[in-house]
Amino acid sequence: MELQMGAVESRFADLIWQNEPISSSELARRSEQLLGWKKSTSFTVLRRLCQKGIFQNTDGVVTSLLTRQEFYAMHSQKYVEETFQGSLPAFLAAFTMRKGLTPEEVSQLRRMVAEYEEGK
Amino acid sequence: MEAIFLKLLNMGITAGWLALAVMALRPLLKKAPRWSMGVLWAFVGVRLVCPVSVKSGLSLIPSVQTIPQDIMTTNTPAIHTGITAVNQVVNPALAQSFAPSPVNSANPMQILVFLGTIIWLAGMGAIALYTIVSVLRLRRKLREAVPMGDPIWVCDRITTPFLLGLFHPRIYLPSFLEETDRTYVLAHEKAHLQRRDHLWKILGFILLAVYWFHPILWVAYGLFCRDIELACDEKALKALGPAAKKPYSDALINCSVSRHTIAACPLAFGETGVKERVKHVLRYKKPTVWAIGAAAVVCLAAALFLLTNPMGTHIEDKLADFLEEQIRLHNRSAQTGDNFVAVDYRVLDTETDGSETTVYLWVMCLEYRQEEGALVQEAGAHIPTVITVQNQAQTYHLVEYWAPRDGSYYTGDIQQKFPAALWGKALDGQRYAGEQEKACRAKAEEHFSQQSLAGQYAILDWIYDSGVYSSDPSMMAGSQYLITDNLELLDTENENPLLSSWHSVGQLEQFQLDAQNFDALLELSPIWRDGFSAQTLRQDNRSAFRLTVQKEEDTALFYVLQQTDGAVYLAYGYEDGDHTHIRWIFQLNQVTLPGNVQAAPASDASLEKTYSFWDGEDILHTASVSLHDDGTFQFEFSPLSSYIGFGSYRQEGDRLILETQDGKFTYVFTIEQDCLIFDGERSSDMVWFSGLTDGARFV
Repeated sequence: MELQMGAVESRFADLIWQNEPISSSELARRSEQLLGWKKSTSFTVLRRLCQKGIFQNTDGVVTSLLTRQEFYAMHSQKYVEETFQGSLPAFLAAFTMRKGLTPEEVSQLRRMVAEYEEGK
Repeated sequence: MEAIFLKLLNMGITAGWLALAVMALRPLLKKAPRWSMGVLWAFVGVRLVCPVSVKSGLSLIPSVQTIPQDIMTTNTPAIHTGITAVNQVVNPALAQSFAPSPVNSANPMQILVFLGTIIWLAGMGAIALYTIVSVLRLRRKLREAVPMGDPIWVCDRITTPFLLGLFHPRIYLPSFLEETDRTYVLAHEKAHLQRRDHLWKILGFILLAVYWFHPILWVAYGLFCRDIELACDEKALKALGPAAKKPYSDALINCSVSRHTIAACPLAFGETGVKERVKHVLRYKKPTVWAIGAAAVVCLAAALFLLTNPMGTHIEDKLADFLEEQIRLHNRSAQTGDNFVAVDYRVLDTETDGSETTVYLWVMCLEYRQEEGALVQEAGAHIPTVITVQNQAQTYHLVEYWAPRDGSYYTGDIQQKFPAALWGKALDGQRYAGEQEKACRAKAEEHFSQQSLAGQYAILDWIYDSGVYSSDPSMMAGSQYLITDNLELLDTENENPLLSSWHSVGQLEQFQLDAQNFDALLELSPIWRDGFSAQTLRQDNRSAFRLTVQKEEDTALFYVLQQTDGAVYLAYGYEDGDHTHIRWIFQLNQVTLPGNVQAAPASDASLEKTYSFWDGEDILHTASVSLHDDGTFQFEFSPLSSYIGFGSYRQEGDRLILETQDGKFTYVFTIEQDCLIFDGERSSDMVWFSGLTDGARFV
């Protein structure tokens, strides 16, 4: 499993790294303050990070398996690429409406934008 | 529920026309500000939501009620698309496949509509379920989002920025979004917020879910979503200024690269959305006053021509027949004798309220008679009329027949009764007068020409022989034909029709002679009598009638041609696809009616002679009694009856009594000078077809 974390997740992870060992209920209380998450959301994210092998939750006490330095050394990407299972509901006023551009199309578009000059 | 489904089908079809028009206008509005497309799509939405609309003579919508609400119960299911060609193709098939039959208990159309309703409901349920599930899934992911200043939230688990929520919509940004792109993304999303696009899109989606069976609307929804984005890009750029074009485009591309497939809109047709948008963004200039004006004009015109409903000028055949009958009844004032009342009406509009239908008409009623072959108009009326009928169990009943009072009341009455939109037409007597008069005249001409065709004919001579058959056309000599008032053709092979019976050949139908249906059938190796040719026959033709009849393996073809000079020709041939041809053409000679033929001068005291009866109207209402000097008689009731009464007669005072040989029937006449008066009360009942009534005069 690839070790990746999103920007929001990494703030949550920092909470653990800074305060470990920390009880899971205390962690939930703090992330509620910091991130505005509900308890259940914190537990969901914690479970996911534990499954990735970054942290462990033993009898309600959360500790890290990888230090912050170890974790960031293992990957360079800063965000999680995650697919949606199923699609977004159709009525979302989404910023884009797309089905993956091919790399050629992307470079073609980028060239078009780069070559564009106002007034031409 | 079925009624709702049918209503929705009709609204969907109507909106489909509008949607097609909007799609056609879309490329034309490329240079115009994009909000104009939004307005046009809103019209489509209005059509889908609103069951009623203002009526206008300008409306380009072919029909607002393609599928009649009574399609489940009618004997002849038919659709009214407003496009004749479509109706002609579809309706015969509908009538054939879905007409109720007395054998089956359920009407096939009813089953079809019922199944359709079930499928429609199931489809809506499926879409609703799918939507709810995906919203819940998304919401679960968004629980991990963190606020970044109202109303912006950042989330790890989304890959595209979007706006979500009905009443307090939030902008969600993926956490990986670069700082540089963020400005433009936010400008775009805020433009969405200001335009209330989240609401429009939800509305559009709900409509699509209801009308999910309508393929045109799926395409329309896809284009609608795209136009929303384009309009929103324009708005955002207007706020950001032209310098933002490049970075804005970059942000657009960045948000669409290499992430995993996500169908933000199920109708994302490939990547063209982004391409189109990037191009649109780079090309964007503040619209000129002209472009704005043009867009406004297009929108207004679309509203005028496409948002309005056509006038209810279509009425079904059954109602048309009923109206004509009612008009005839109400205008039969001076109708006398042989006068023909020609009725023509123009439907200005119809209104339906439950089972009641009100029809607004311009009625013209003209009376004609024929004098020496020429039409003479006797009396007439031309008047705006309102007829209200009730449709119960497939039959119409008159509720009200209204016509304005004369003189100073006239205008006021019309303004009170007609809707204001129709005042112009109802008060303008000249508007339809010319064409209505023409129509009436044509009807009268047709009437009199058909009437004068009725009669008994004998073959005078042949004028055309195809030359491919060995038998001589003269073998047909002596054949007689009878054409009734309602254009039934009868034939007999015996020279004396009174000694034989008439056989119905079939019903003649009027048609228009042309080179294709006439000249082309006369091209074998023809033998023409001098002075005749296909062209001359066709040119001199006043009216032509045809019928076909299946005779063993062949389909026999009869044409009856009534010429301008009064001559009547009978063409006989065979219908066989490309080999259809005419074998013979005979000139017919009208023979005097039996009533006159038999009226030979009588010897004084003797009763021996043939007495004939004709009621003077219907050619079938003829009968004859022949009294022979050996005390026997022969009684013919009607050309349609093969029964001939034989027996003996006796005289009792001024009463003549005929008894048939089998003793079953007795016929009694009163003797009056040279004629016999039928005594219906004392006679047996069996005088069918003849039109004989008590007091019928045999001369």
